[in-house]
Amino acid sequence: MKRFLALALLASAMASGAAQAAPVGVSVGVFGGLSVPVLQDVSTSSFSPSDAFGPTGSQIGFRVPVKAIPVVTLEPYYAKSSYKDRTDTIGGISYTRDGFDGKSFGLNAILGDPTGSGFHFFPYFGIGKTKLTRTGEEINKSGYNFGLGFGISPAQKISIQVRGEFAMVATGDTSRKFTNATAGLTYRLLH
Amino acid sequence: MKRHASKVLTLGLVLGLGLLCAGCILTSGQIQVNFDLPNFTGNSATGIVGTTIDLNTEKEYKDNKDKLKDLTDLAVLGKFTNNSATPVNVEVWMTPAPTNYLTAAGLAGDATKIKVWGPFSVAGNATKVIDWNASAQLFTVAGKAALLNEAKGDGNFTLYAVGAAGAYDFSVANGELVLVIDVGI
Repeated sequence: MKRFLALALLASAMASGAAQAAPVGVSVGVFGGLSVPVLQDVSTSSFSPSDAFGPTGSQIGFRVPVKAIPVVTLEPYYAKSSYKDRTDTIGGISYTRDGFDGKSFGLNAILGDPTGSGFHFFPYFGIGKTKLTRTGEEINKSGYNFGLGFGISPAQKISIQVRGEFAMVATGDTSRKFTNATAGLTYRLLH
Repeated sequence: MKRHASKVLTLGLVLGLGLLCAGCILTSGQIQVNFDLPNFTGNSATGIVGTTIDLNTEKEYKDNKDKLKDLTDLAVLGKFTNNSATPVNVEVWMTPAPTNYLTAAGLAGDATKIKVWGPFSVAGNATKVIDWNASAQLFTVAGKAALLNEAKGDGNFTLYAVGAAGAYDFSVANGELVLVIDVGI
C-alpha cells in the first residue's frame, strides 16, 4: 500500500507539473467484459493446459483518463468482478465452491492517449488495491496489471476501447492471477 | 519534451522495480490437493478412531512441498450420518504428531491437541453431506495455522472426529481433506 501511495504521489506530482505546460484532458468511461482466473485451484495430477484457466467471470467498472502530459495518460479506475462457482467431484460426491467477488481500484499509466482520434493502440500498466472475497476466504492486497488496448473514436468526444490485460493480486511471495478482456466507452469532458 | 520523456521513464522504472521487488509473484499458482479419508466413526460409548495422515503420500503435495508458501483454502468434506436420535455437533481435532487414541478422554488429555474444524451440526438419525463453502468457514484460526505448520513441516499428523458434548454416535463416509496450497513455481 505504501508503494501504491508513493506512486500515486509521484504521478500527481508529474501531472500537476506538466499541467502547467500542456492543456489538461479529462474523460470519463465505463467498461465491462470477461475476467478469467489463471492457475488457481488447479489439480496437477490431471493437469492439462486448459485447466490453467478457471471458470470465466465478469468485470465492470469505470475509468477517468487524465491527459496532462504529452506522452502518458494517467487513469484512475474502479472495477468490480464476479467469478463463477466451481463444481468438483471429490470422493464420489459433487461439491460446489463459491467463486470470488472482487473489487479493485488503482491507477493505470497509458502510453499515448486512449481517447485520441482515429484508430490507435496503447500499451499500459497499472498498480492498485484489490479485495477478493468468497465464503471462508478474503484477500485484500496490492495488485498489478499490464495490457494492450486499441481505441477508435467514432464521433467527437466519444471513444470506444477494447483492452486485453493480465492482472495479479500479490499474496506475499505468490499471486492470484487473472486475464481480462474488456470493452469500454469513454466520453471526453475537457480538451 | 526531453523533460517529459525522463518523467515517463522514471515512472516506468519505478513501477517496473515495484513489480520486481515483489519477488517471483508471476510464477506461482494455487494447487488443490485432495486427501482421501477412510470411513470412520465417533461414539462416546465405544470410542473414537483417529486417521493418521502423511501428506508426503500425495504426489501433488510431495512435488510442491519445497515451493509451498501458504494454505489458501481448506475443507473437510464427506457424508456425515448421525446414528443416534440426539443431534450431534461434530468437531475435528488434530495432534501434530501421529497418535492412536481410542477414547475422547484420551484425546482430551493430550496437551498438544488442536481443534481444527467444527462444529458441524447433524440432526438426530439424519445423514448430511457437508457443503464445501460451509466447511471452509468451520476451520479455526489455530487449526489453519497448525495445518500450515504441518504442511511446511513433516506433514505427518493425526485427525480425530468427536462430538462437541454429551453422548454421540456418528459415522463419516467418503471423507476428504481438501487443501489448496499456494506455491511458487
